[in-house]
Amino acid sequence: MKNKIFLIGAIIIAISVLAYLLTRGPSNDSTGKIIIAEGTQPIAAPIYIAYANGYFKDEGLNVELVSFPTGKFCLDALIGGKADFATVAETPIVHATFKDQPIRIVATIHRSRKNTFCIGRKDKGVNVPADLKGKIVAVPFGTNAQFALDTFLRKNDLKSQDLTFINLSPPEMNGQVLKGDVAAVVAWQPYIGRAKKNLGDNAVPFSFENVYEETYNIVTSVLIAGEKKDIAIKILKALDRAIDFMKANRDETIRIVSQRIGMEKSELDTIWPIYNFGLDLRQSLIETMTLQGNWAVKQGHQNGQVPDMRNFVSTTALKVVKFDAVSIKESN
Amino acid sequence: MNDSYPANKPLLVYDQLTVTYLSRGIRIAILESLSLKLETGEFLAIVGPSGCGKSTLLNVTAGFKMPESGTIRLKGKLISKPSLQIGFVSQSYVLFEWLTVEDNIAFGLQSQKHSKKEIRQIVDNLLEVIGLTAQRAYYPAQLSGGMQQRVALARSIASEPPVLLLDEPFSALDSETRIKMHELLLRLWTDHNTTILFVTHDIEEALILADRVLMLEKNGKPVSTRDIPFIRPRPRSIIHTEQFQIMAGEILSHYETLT
Amino acid sequence: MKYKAQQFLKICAPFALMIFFWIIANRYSGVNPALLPTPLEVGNALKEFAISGNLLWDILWSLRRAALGLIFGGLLGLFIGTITGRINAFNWLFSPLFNGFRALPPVAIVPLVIVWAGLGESGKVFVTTWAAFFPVWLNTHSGVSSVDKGIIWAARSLGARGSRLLFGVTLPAALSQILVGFRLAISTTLICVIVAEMTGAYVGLGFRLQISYLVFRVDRMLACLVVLAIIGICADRLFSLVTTWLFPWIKLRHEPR
Repeated sequence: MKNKIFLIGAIIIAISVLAYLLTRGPSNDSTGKIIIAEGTQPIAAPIYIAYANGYFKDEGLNVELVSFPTGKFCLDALIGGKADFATVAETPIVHATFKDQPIRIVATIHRSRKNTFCIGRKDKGVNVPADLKGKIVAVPFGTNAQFALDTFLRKNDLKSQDLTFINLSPPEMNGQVLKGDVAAVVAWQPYIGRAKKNLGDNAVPFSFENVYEETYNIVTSVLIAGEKKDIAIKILKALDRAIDFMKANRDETIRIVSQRIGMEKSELDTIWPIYNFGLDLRQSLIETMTLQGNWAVKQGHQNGQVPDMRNFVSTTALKVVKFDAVSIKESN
Repeated sequence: MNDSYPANKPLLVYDQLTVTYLSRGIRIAILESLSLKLETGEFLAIVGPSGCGKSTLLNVTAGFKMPESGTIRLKGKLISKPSLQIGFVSQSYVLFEWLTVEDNIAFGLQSQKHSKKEIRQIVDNLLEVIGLTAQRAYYPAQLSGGMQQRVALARSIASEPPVLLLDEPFSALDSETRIKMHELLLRLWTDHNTTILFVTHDIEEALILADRVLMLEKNGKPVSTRDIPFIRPRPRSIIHTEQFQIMAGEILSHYETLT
Repeated sequence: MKYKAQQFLKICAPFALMIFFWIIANRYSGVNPALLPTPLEVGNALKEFAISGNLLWDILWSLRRAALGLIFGGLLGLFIGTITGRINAFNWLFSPLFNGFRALPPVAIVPLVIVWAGLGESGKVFVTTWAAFFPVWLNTHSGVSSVDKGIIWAARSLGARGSRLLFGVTLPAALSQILVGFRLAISTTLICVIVAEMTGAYVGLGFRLQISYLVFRVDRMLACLVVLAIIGICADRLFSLVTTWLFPWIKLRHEPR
């Protein structure tokens, strides 16, 4: 009996050791790898292009891309120390500033007014924005889509209390748009476009062009933004190169991106005109983030004073790469 | 018992009963071609070394197991499954732990055509006989071993089965309790005129209680019976008489010589 | 008086200990304070919930979904467990299937349920029913198939047959095992209701937990977890009390005479 116990113990230990060895990835420090957490969206294109064309390597960096379903998860990876850079829209960053997280935006890589919008259902009686009153709307909580929706409602004289919001992340919005009680959905491309297509004639799009200009940003840790800013500079150099390439090689860009995130080339091709890629840090970013900070407190998501958003932007690296692209006066 | 089976015909008849089991592909006989007749109201003790088939005989009689060949007939009818006709008290009592004492006793009665009033009366009587009227609302887990066995006896006798089987029912009890149980059993036996088959490994117990003793042998070898000549009522002191001790000694030595 | 004071201290001690270690972790572990709020912050978040009225509705809706799942899944598990436990043909036909499904984590089936059933209550109750079914099925099957043969024999020689044998003997004999299944089902249902509410809900503890995460409010997340833990403890105690009241003999098993 004792022999059996030893045998089982040995087998368990052997399997555990094997599993550990086989699944252990290379660690950050030991191999000098730079990990970029990206949000699996077309607007992360500069990163995909830089990676595919070897621009990071040209800068002497060993970069690894890790995919996450949304920017919030990318930011979590950065904060948790599992990634060195994250791609994320402003809203998750704004929430993180209230907890004074050690993160810094080093560049905006994309902006748009057409990426995110709302689709209403005709068969649920939604034809104009005012019809949303008393209805159920699906929106991804904690994202800029939630902020955009609240702002859109305000602009249309609707109050948040007038609607019921269901938390749904964009990848899950497909089967559901067609079913049941949800009268409208809010999300970004390509998900919102797919929802529109699935609803066909039943779809009533509400543009958010007049709501606000959303940005997609590269965020990093305080360490890399400060002491190790060489890394940030190199990343931004590679991304700048990538954006130049994208402007000159639309088809090749679409091919790389669609393959990377698993989208149909034709679908991406149709959407592509709404995207505006470019490396910069504008004052409007600070204004937008402050606006969102106020919104977060007003909606009860956060408590206390809205932080000074300039404390969470680092212009140093971008100034080296592209001085004119920086129009923020930061306070550090 | 209110049917018309003549009292002078044998109540329980075993005809060439053979019971086997399979051990590593080989058929081994526990009981072989056992034939036996029991009269109404007879008290039969069954003795023998362990493994000689005492419990098996009871299980087949109760209809729990099927024989390989041969038959058992009760009042001429073949026994093929358990029924109220054959009561069974096992060594481990198996009282229904989710029922109170009185509900346990009433259990068999509910399968028969009795009014609620009749059932209550029968249960009250039995509770008095076994001396547990005060504990009628207790659950089995709250009773001592001796009390539980009394309830088990009452439960199987309540429905007045013509035949009652007991498989070493008192072997787990201390000697004082066992004596009381003997008195109780004999009282129930005379009250209801039940035919009883009583398995025991205690030869003295067999001789005190039974009319006849059936001696089983290992591996189904031929069995024998001995009539027990002592007149009833048998006081406890009879154990020390010479006649008793000689008979007990004979049976004991019979088994000793076989090993 | 002294005894009651002792009892009270005994109950409070584990929680006091936990809060003690928690505060130490806050002060000395160097963990990002946003990721490990202090007990005070969690308490405030809890107060916020209570005052806003959210707490009450979240609890009620989550409990409703869990309770419905427990009832449907429990009854179904009881019924099917009795069948697969007693009838051989059903056992070898269905048990392997159930065992396979049992292995699926609820997190994996929620998206599928949403695709099929939508975002409404029926989908959520399906998930909780699923959660309750398996422990009850497994334990009912186990209890019913391992009833002491002696009890069945005794019952049959006392004239019990068919439905009387099933309802009056087999099920009561298997009851303590069946109750183990229900007790487990309580905790699995509570877990699954949280999972089911993380997507496509607008009220409930799981919903509240998820959206707190999405706006980086770990203090609110912990407040939800505290509420959940308290509910779990209360549900378990309530279960114990109710079963002891309904089935007094089960406890007696373990008490000395």
